[in-house]
Amino acid sequence: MKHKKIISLSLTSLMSFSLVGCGATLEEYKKYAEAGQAYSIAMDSLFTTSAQYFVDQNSVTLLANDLQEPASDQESYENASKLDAEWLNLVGLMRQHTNLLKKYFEQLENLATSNTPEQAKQATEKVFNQINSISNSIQQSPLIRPEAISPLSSIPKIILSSKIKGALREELLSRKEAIYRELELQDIVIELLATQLKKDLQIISQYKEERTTYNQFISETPVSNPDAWIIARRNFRITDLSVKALEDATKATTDFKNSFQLVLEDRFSTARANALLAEISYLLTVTKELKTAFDKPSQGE
Amino acid sequence: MSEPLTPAQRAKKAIEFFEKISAFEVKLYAIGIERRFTDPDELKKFKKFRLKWSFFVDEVQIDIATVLVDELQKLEDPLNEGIESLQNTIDNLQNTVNFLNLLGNVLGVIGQIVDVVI
Repeated sequence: MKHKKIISLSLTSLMSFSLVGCGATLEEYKKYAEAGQAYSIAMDSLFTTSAQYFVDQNSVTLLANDLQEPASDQESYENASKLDAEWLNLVGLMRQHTNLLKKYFEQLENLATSNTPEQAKQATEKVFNQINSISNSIQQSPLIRPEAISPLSSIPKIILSSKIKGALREELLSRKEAIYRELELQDIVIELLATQLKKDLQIISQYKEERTTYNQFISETPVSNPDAWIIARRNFRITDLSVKALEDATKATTDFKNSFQLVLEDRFSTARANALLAEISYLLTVTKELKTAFDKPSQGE
Repeated sequence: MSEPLTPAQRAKKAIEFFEKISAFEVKLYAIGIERRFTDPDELKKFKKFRLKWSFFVDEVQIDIATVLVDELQKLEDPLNEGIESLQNTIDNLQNTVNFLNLLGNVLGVIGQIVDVVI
């Protein structure tokens, strides 16, 4: 029995070695791949939230600036609808791309854990077909402007740990800059979305508050239902907290990008991996809260 | 002469501009702002200006995102190649696993023999 245990342990160590050259980094590597998938899910949730509030804020823009001049209002409505369509199209493309990134991290995790490669292979073939279809639709989009390929000047030099060996080493050596650049761009995308969501939520909140709690309070008659009024007013104020939380939560994208470098350089600890997963989980929670921020009808609506 | 900015750097700078015009847009919708315009013609003028500003903010946002989507799209080939490469690695790993399973079985048998002998 003792011999079997020793043999079994040796085999596990050997398998880990075949992946990354040293069992010590296998767990962190797997956790980073997990974080990659969680990150993609959080990003996707942000995209749908962004789409929702972009349209809602344009609705507020139309209502708040209704000139009651049919010709002019019609033009404004059409303009808003055109902008909605353009943004929704871009969000759709970004979601598809992020899904591709998720697939990449799924493969990274499969590499660390898979004992069913045939299933993984079938799943990958399915992914390839979907990707081809998406690529074609992106290329046909009139919104995409041809740009010169940019130099990777802002990418830090990543020294791949000698513990990462074999095919995985080849993979990361050939694509580490591309993945880093991807994460850098995602970081900028989230900055854009955070700014947009912040101002959309503020404008929608102000508009709703003015029509309800504010107008009720400044009118010559007293508020008819003070308890409901207090709750409604509190809900508007709490939206500000969600906006602030989003600003904090988006730091997860920068940490995720930096962690990629740490993983490759064998400087990514389990504690750091757990902290990263917690940050991404927080981002997802905040996004979900924002999505339903105005779901409860305000008093007077 | 400074080096030309990459699209990502341009987008970053554009976001700073977007932040400024977004912050001002929020102020244009501040609670009670319309009550400050006592002249109906002036209020109408304000609304026209505010509407224009809001659409301008949308357009800037769309422009920035278009550049970013374009950049992301350029990374689809490396990502696809990466997925394929990782898949090959998993397949090769399966061979290793088979080999190790076989080796494990053999060593297991040897272990039993050793147990018996000792």
